[in-house]
Amino acid sequence: MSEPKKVGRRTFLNYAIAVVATGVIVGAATYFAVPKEVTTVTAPGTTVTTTKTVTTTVTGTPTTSPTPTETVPFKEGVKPLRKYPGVKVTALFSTHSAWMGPLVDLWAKETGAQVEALWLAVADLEAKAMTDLAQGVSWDIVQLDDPWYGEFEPFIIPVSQWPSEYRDYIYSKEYDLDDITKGALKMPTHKGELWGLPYRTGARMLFYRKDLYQKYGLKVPPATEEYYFWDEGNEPSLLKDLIALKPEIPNTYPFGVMAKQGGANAYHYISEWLWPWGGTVLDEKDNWRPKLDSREALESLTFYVDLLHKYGVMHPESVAWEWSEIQTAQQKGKVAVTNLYTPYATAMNDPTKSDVAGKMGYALVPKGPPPKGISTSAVGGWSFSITKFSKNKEAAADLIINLTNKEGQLLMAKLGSGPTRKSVFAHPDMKWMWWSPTIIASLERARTHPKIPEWPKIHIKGQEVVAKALARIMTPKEALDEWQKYADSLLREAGYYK
Amino acid sequence: MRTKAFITLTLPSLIFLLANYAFPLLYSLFISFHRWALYKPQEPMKFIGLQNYITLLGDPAFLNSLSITLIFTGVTVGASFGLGLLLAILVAPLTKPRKWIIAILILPMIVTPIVAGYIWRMLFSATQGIVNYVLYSLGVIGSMTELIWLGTPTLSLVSIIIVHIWQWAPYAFLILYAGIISLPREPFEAAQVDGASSFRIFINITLPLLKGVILVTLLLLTVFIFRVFDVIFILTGGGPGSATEVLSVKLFKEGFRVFEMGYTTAMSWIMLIITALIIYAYIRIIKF
Repeated sequence: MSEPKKVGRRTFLNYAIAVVATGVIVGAATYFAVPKEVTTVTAPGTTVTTTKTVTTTVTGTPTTSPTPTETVPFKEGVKPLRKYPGVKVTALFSTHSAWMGPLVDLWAKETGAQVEALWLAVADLEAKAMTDLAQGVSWDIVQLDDPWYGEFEPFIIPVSQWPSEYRDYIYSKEYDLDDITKGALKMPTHKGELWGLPYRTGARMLFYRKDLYQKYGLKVPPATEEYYFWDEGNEPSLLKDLIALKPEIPNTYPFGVMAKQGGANAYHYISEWLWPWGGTVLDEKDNWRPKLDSREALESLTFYVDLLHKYGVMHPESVAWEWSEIQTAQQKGKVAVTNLYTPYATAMNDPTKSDVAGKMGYALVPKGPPPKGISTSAVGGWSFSITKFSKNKEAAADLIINLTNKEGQLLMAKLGSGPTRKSVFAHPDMKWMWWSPTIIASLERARTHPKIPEWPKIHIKGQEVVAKALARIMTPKEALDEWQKYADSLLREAGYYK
Repeated sequence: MRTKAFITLTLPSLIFLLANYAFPLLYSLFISFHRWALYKPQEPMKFIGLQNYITLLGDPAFLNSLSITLIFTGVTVGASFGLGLLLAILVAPLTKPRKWIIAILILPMIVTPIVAGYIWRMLFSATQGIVNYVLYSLGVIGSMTELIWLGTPTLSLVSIIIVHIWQWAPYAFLILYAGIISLPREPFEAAQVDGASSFRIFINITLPLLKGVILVTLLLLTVFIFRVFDVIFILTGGGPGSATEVLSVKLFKEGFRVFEMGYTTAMSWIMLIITALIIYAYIRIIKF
């Protein structure tokens, strides 16, 4: 064996420097050539032409989508106001809206623009949008959940400041803002003006097993008329129904909610008990002063806790359920009655996914006891806004208009999205959604959560104390007192009142 | 020339390390002395000295999270280490099926935490989970909904501990197993000739020889388990109430739900200091 050739110190150094320099050049070239975190998502169940360098596929099927039996004619949905050759629109989108992927791509193809979108799960979207926009990163479009408008206000522009051609179009008869349901329009409305356009919406409504009601001789809740949760008098009420159902259905719990902490547990309490009882968390008319020390707050939280512990009608695992669990529980017949967002009704009636398809009925969220009880609900959904840092406001506005106009909404609704427009509910192609009168009635009554920057803090505290009350770590009174004290101190310190 | 070469070769790595580790770390320390809410761009960062730290140390919610974290870490590290050591002792003398056993044992370790969280969320489900189904089938519980693993304060803490032991015991096993099989044979043979019992050999020879490996295992387990987030967030979200709100979950909520960056970075620095103290204590106790 020959002895290995010796490498001189100088030669070695030259090689080392060459390797490092090559690494730096290749690294820099890669960094600038490959778009970072910019992806195009193909909507589940649909074929999409990718236009970007990196393609990500969202796996799975949208939870509330009916199985599309026909090819959705996306071309009909795109009506760009102008062409934007070579313009790049950047967007932060939610994976909740993966349906719109093909429509976005088609708009890009029709206009000559390029859309670079980052699709994120809800929690990631909020974190990414806030951290980026706080640093002035120039995203053009950001998709926002309705309670986020308070905290995102410094980073977005109201529709009144959108480029005039597009703003005028939005207020024209052709786009038709009046066609959008009241509830959907409330989502991007903040401080009395529009800060974006609603894309997908839902409100809470009562989902109940009509077959069980009929089997056990109970009067089914009315689809669009007001109905009581509980009433001392002889009025029919949901609680009476649940108590009557309990012994009859041993393998099914009469009622279920999604009360996992960190999920929707506080929203759930607020929108299905506190508001229908006539209470509120913060009073907008009184400088956002918290009102959790009210009789309505205490009675409604006590009632909620009692459903679980005193009456035993609520599925005990509800306290660990989120969206997917509550949906599965209802689809598998583990609970007879729930309060869910309206778009979930589609999945309940899909026989390929649900054991209770064809057995469901829908009604408004019941109201609390008289005299203060009111029929209401919480609106929930997504809107699109243009950021202050956008460099392509015209193209961004055009894309948003195309995702939210009548045609775009109809296409998305066919794929299972919750439409924002009355014309979509009334469209002949949407006749299969026979429960739409209940959705519209719910949306008309729906409210949004407070849109102030401090709301996330107050909401997180609410999640904690409501969970403590349900777990009997605290009494409802102690829970509400702690929440009231926390919110009061926070808002006082923030200068809302003295 | 030697010095020149040394500098030339190490400089890129040094720059990389400074840029990627030291700068963010020091910047977070800088932020922790400020009041800075991301959602209030109109209010610039304001220097407030140690106020965030003082507020934190007087915040009952933070202290509660800290105590939950210490309980969770203590129990999980102890049980993972114990189980890992037991498995390592049992597997080390085996000959033929050893590779297969090791492969199976380390499977939980390679499952992504998010996936592990969702798997266990399904397993713990009272309506469809296999855990309650088995317990019900064996007659341990009277109904499928008797044990709500993720919805009651004590059980949810037990649940997250079980899941983390499942995930981290294989890690401890792997390191300890590697340590055991690399021990010299001579002291063991001498002890056997002298008639020492297996237990004596384990206490007087195996453990002292493994001291370094044990220290590394405990250190790594503590550091990793002290800051786990994903699985707990998926399983309980820190609830019910604050029964499983470990520091990392609280930190996430403050940082990425509420966007109070000064307060959050102060919390992360306290976590860092506690971890450093624990490491120091380990080194002192084991006298490495």
